[in-house]
Amino acid sequence: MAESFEIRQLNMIPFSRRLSRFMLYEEKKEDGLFPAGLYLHLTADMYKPGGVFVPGRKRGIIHLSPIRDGKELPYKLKATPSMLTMETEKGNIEFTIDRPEILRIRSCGVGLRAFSPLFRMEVPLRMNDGSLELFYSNLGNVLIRAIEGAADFNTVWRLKDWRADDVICDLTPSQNGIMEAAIHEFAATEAPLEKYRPFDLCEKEAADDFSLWQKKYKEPCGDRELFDMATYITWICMQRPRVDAPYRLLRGNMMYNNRFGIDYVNLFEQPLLAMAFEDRNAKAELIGNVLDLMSPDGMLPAFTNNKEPQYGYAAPPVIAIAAKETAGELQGPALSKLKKLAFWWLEWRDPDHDGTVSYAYAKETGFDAGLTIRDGLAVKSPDLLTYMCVLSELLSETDADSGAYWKEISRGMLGKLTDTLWDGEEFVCRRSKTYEKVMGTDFLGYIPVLLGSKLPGDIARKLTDAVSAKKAWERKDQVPLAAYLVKGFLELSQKERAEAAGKWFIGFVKEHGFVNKIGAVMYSSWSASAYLYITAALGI
Amino acid sequence: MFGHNQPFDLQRMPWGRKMSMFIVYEDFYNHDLYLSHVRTGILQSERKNLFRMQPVTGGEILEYTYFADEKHLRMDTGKGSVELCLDELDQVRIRGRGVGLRLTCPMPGDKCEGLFDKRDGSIEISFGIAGKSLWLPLQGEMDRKISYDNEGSVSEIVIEFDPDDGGAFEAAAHEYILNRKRDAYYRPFDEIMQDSAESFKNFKNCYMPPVPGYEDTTNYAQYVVWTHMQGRDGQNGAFKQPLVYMHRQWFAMAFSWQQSFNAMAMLNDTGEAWRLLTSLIDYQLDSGMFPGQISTFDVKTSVPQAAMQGFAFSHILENAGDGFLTPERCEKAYEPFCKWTRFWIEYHGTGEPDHLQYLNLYESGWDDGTVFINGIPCQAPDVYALVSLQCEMCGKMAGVLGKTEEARAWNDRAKRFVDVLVKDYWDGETFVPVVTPTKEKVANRSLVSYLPIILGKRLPEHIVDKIARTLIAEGEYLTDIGLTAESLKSPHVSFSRVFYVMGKVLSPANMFITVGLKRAGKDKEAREIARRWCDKIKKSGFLLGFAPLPTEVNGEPYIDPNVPNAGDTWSWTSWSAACFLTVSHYVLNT
Repeated sequence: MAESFEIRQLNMIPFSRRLSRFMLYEEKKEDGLFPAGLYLHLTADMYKPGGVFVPGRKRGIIHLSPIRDGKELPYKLKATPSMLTMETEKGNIEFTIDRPEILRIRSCGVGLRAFSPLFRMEVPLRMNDGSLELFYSNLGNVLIRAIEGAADFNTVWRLKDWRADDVICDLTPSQNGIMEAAIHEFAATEAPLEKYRPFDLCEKEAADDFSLWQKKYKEPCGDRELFDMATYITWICMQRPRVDAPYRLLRGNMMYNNRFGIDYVNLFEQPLLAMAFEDRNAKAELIGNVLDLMSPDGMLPAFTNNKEPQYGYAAPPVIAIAAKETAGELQGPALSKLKKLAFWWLEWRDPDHDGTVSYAYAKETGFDAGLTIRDGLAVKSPDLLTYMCVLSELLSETDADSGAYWKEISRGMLGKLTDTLWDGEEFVCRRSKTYEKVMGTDFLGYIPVLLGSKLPGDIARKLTDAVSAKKAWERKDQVPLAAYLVKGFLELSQKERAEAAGKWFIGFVKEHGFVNKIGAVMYSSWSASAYLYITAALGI
Repeated sequence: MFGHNQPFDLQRMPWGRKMSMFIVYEDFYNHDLYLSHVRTGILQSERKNLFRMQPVTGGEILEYTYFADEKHLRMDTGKGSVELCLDELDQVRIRGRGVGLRLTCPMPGDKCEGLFDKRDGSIEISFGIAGKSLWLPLQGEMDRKISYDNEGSVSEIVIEFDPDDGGAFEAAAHEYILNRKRDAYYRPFDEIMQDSAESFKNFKNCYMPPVPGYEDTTNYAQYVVWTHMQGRDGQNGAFKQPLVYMHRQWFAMAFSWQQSFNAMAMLNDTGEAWRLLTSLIDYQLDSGMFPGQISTFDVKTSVPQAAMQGFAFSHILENAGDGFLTPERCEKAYEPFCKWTRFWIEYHGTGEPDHLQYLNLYESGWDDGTVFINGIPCQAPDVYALVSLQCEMCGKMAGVLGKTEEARAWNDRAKRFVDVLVKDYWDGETFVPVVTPTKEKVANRSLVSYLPIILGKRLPEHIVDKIARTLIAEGEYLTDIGLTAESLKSPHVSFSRVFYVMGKVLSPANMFITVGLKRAGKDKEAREIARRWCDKIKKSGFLLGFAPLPTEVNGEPYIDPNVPNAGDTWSWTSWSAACFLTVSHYVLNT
């Protein structure tokens, strides 16, 4: 399948590979110093657009263009999951990713120009063996090595500017017209390999890896191309702990939101990423890796990457929704962490001591503008009680020693939800201490659909009628949340409504792509996972 | 120590305490004191302005003077006073008599997540990735007011502590990353103050007695290092043991080679010196490399720093004896240091036997030195000196462990690096670097070309004599306040803030040279340079660098706005303090 699927929007989703920091993407417009065209970049692990510390770097680290006799050539791009090709009239250049940290390049008849604008504290180095090392400060290092043919480049240092001249590295073919090269990325030190594996073997392995990845999802009934694109997005968003960094936060492979700009793990999104898998072991593995991010006292950070964890506020315990589906596959440590998670919320987020957990900070909802917190008073929210209800019910089934305790907690959470936060017509948020109603995003009140038949019948009916009447799934922002409504409708056996929501989301994807919101500049794993979940759940 | 009517204030050096993440700065612009907690891995992050502190009474803000030392910080108004002290865990204590204290936190929404009333008398304020603080009254009242912007984000938080009917208030605040509740018991304020004083007093025992005439300066230096020692465990961070930060803001991280600068100053506590010297072993990579910087959230591995441990080790050995070098310590440290030394030899070899190079300017520490004017990789003379001393260090440890052959091999290697340095790089006047790819010699007038003087008597006498003559000559490198990092006769010399080693008088450079000259038997020259530099430090504080002239050499003004910034002419640094402690004791002490 990989070889027939073409990635067409390289400006929205890069060419890359699972676990690799490399990406090749297309910039459509020129921007001052930065030409339009194909760029090589690395996952930055920083919360900044473009993800780089160095002021001025708005784009990828290296601009790539085919050359012949020193002149740049026009080209077309073609990309499959395992290979990207620059097609010119004089010959083609092909890229594939070998081990996640090595990008391989080959061409026939043409060479490749790698142009890297450099900024302060970025350093080029000519190594003893003639290869080029580029040091990009906080982003990482890159080594460019000619395997066949030659690498010619400049490394002029401008002392008083604390920087080098922009580097131009021309990779040119040998006399037989063949050029082969490797680009390594690394954090500390690196040496070129003595021997490089055949290019075709690397490409085949990448293709096979993608095929194996696709098998973790349910085979599509509908649009094959969208399925391929969605699974490609989730595949390349899988990142790993930095192998040569002595302090790294990720403890297992995790799915980033995207690769350029939101290159971090958002824990609010993780349940959908897990739920999208059909392979139960894949679900359990992702959930286990999420739970491994837990602090010693049971708190899950709102987001993290290899470098920076956000413990300023907690992630909501929404992981319970995915964990409930996978309880049979979760290992002991994961289950005990779920228990710790529940205890954390009970201990640290019940300021009224009334058994109702609350959000201390607005962003703990997972929504950017989720809640109005005033005067420091925490807010009881229906989505939070839903997650806690599901979590404690899961624990009642899995915690052999304290099943009854958790059953009671679950019942209590449900009771608080329906008694305190249901106002007869809708679910509302209420302020701690005063219990006054609080302004919040409507969607918080829809999340209880996930409780399905646990909700009293009249509440479930009114809730789903309201959700349906308002077409609450038709969002402009955090669009993948539509998947939760699909799930909720299915839990309540309201298939038509589930299909209405699902079809709307699929239409959104067809029109806007796999984005989290209208106008987003990159596709996201969250949106892709929502698509995969919805199409699998609805069989469409 | 610091404050009004004191030699120094808190504009360039924060008040703090060893292992406490709290600091207090005087703001350069409004001259108020700000309480902050600083926990960052971001280079050049500025985090000094979290809570503006203002004594108040009846809602009226009062003017005040302040005094700060190792025990406490006191703000005096005409109507009463406020005091702060720090414990060695996570707490700041505040008490007032006759007045209250207002703390104002003007934060844009993306820096502050909000305030959480825990309904147990305490409030938590979250600053996102930077951490949280928990505030509570112990005596008197605590009031708070939160303002929001049009988008509903927090725009300002004001906390006010007001006295009770007896006219006193007391409060506590904790800083942390994860979660915290109020303690069940709070120690008496005076006990914490005493504890802090005791901690500093014990810390001073790491050092030899001060040199006459520099007692106060020594006390300040020790205070700087003490307050910059950071790294509590258990907070989900990267620290494995306490390390010395370079700054408490801006470069708020522990730089690899600076741990060695600090170690060599602690001659009265070789155990602590050894601990710092070996501290980077915790982070060693498979290649043998030690990372460049450590902070709460990051260990930077992109560029190593120069191999300074051998130089520091030899200094400690020569001055404190080898009693600290037990077989147990050598057993733990020998292999890692061999690996680190081999990393330099193998990864930084030029391809020619026993020839070394820097691959990146930032490895050397002479970031914009003219040794690199023709680019990199560059065979700079200091790398030979430092790696040679690394080899000696390995040889010494091998000897302690009874590994005779290995000891001999390391010592031979050490000597070979010196031989290559002298044979291939000394041109009769100076050591001349070479750019490896083109083999061109680099004409330059950087002081680093004389750094091999740290080898002392391992260098031939004629070279030592020449270096001493050059460096003691007025107007070349020597100025009234010490040696410039670039010759005053160099066409590139500049004292502008934008440059680092292009001309300013820098602490580490003066330490290297004066210690080296003394080792080489050039006591008189060493003392003269050291005296000038130490006197400047005594007068102006522990800045990293000073411009030796009021203008550039050519009379043009240089760029130095002299406002708070991450550069070397504003903030005090533990690096300078450590250099002063070494130079004053070793070179000036008779």
